[in-house]
Amino acid sequence: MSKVDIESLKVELRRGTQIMMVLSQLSNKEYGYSLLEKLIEKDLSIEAGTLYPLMRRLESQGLLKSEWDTSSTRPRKYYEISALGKEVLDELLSEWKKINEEIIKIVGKTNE
Amino acid sequence: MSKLIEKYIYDVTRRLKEEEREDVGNELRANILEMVENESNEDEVKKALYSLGSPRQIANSYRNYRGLISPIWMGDYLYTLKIVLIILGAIGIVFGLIESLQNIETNMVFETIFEVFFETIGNAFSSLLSGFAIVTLIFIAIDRYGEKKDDWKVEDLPEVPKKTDLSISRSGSIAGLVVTIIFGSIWLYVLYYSNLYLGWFEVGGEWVVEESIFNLEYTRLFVILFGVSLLVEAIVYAFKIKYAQWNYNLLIMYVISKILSVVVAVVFLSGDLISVDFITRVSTDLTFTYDQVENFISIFLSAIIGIIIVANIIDLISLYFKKIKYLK
Repeated sequence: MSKVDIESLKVELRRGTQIMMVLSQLSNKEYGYSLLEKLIEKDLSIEAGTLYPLMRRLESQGLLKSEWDTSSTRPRKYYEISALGKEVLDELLSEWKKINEEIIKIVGKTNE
Repeated sequence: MSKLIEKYIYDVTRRLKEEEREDVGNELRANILEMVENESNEDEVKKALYSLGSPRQIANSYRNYRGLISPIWMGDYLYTLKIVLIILGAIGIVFGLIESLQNIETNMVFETIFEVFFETIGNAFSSLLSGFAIVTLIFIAIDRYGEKKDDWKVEDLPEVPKKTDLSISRSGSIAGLVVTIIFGSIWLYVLYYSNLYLGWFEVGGEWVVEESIFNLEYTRLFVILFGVSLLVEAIVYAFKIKYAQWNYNLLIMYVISKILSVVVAVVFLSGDLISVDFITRVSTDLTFTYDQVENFISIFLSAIIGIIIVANIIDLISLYFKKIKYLK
């Protein structure tokens, strides 16, 4: 039997859900590191090397808006969810629910 | 400012597009500085950088990377590439042979073989490279600017190809081996004693060898080379008998033996094969000038060279389309 790279399958499965996590936590302004800490505090597994590029990509897609705050000694780039981002988040969440229901329907309750 | 952080940022941003380097760099720097309490503490900086991951990986996530050719076109791209490379490789070998034979710099047989062999390979390689570049560029253009809609009709679906048998008949291989050995031995014998068997015979009265067609010194030089080439061919037949079907090892051996035998034959035919005495004799007896006869012979030999090369290329291409394509 060929050995399956289970880690990369997990990463792939996780990738789409991370977008929901990030969008859902940005109703208030956060900068990269503060969001990372917030997610880690809530026991979500995401790495800095994944999060920072993801925020930037979501911004380029118009789901987040950003601004540099240079007033303090440490300049920070703050991100916040945009109106489009909110719409997309709602869509994604209901899709996620649907997928979840479908999975349960087809393989029974997980965790058994 | 920590030197390590700057080095890390540089290594990430140099992999990105010019216009986003500065912004990504600033953001990354700000984030790293948040992660460390004291940026002059090198251990702390190292820990933060390691937690971010390798510069290559993080740059890749920033790049939002999309391959040059999208997966939709990949299959067609690889298929086209394969066919174009086979054809260009064959053409490259032919022109490489012709070109290197015209500019032989040494008189030594072995050196000539090496020179011709490597120049030919080099020429084929460079035409493969340009073929690769052109096909790739065309597909990038199709991918970027071609029709986005993928219209198709059931009428356009290709026929299912017949499954091709990869097996090689053992009796055919045995017959080939026997023929190779018999005619090979005769050929080597003729090369060694050419003045006995191939010559200008006086008709009428007794048949006497007066002028040998071939340059005996020249043909004897090639006994070993043809011997090696025949040996390789015999070995390939032996493996054909052993495996009784095509596989990659066999294919590689087969191609090498083909190239070797073509190179040896072509070098043999393009040297001082025909003896001066023979040309002189023909020209006096048939009232041509020496140059005319020499010219005629060289055209004749070139034609044979051409036929040998073309026949072998056709053989290899047909082998590919009939069998190798289906190798898994």
